[in-house]
Amino acid sequence: MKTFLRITLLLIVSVLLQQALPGWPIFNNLKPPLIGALLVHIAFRLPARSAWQFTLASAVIYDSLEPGPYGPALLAFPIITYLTLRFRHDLFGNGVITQLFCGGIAGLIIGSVATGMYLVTNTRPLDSIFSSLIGGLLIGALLQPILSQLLQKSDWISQEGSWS
Amino acid sequence: MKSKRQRWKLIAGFAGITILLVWPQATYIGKQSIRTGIAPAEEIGSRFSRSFSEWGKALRGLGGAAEREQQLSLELVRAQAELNRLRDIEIENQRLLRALGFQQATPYALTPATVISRNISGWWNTLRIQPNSKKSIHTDSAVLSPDGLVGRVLDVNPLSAEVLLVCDPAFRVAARISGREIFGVVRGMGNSISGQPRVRMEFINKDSVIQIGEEVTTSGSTRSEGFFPPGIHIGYIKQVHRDESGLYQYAEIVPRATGGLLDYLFVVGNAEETP
Repeated sequence: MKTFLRITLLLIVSVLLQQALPGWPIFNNLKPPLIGALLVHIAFRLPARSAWQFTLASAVIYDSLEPGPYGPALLAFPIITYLTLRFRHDLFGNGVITQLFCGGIAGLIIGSVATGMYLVTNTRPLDSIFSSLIGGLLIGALLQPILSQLLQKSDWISQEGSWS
Repeated sequence: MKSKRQRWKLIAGFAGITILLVWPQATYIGKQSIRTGIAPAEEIGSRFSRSFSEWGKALRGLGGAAEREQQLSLELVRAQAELNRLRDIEIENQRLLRALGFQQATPYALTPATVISRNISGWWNTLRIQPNSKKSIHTDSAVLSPDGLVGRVLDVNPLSAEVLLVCDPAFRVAARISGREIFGVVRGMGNSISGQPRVRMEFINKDSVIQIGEEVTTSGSTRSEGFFPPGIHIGYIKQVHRDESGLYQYAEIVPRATGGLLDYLFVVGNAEETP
């Protein structure tokens, strides 16, 4: 229960923080994917059931706060969780290089799915797809180790813990 | 037994996602619920950042009450809107003295609103505002700051409203060069690499001579007339280009108003809703 409350609080804070943070104009105004990074961190540590619950909750909140259709997070977040859960026992989750790699891949997945969705629904001009994808990869890779190291140091989400 | 239950959970999850993706009513209800639920947290966050900014101002010797700032902003918006309106009326009056009659533009009501958050991903140029009074806000209403047009209301939720900023590529509004009979459509072009909002006025008559620095205002000829009145300042002409087709001109505009987290904005309302 304690972990559940902590994660809920973390989710709310990261949603508010991600909204307040300025975008990176060089990368098509993309914002640091705080929720995506938190998702990777949680999927590395919590049991599959809790990770999936967090994934769905964060995806619904994320997409609800976007003006466009549901989809970018609702499709991207489960892919990230699935891949993290699938390979987490083969990876060293506490290592900075692993975090850098996983953060970059997560950012790329979020960017690619959003691009695909906006391409299909024709709701966004996609004149700078390349910079968005590269931006997602780089910002994700940069953010993941920082967030993961901070959370590891604070010990807010314990390894193999449960949130319910 | 366990795997059967897991399979059902998986099916239920997929069904839930599919419903949210394809059923517009579920999308609407879902978004309204989440936005309403998160609005109090956003308001707290917004108050925190405002207080933080106020402390910063006080420390620098520029401290002032937020309410006073809001009141002054409202007065400034009204004065500027009135000035624009009077300028247009003056020109109109000269012409109408020779013509049939006169139609006075209806003054509009302004609802103050607080910016509580920005877009979450950066794909959209939007803000979320919370009206300071109980007056209703309508979709497609103009949103102003003391500097001019900020955007339009995209979506209204029970506790907040989404505002599409002028620089968003989905934003379009009928505009004119202030004081002249030159019309066009103002469209958002996103942000430049330096982070400045980019706005363009398109479909300008190719024979019109436009000077750099001329003021661009709304022409009020949109479908939602009344909520998007004429004479609202948008920006100034920065550069004029001939379109590739050669059929019209387009002009780069420097928008003066930008919506930030610390800004007070005003939503234009119907004349009947004037307090």
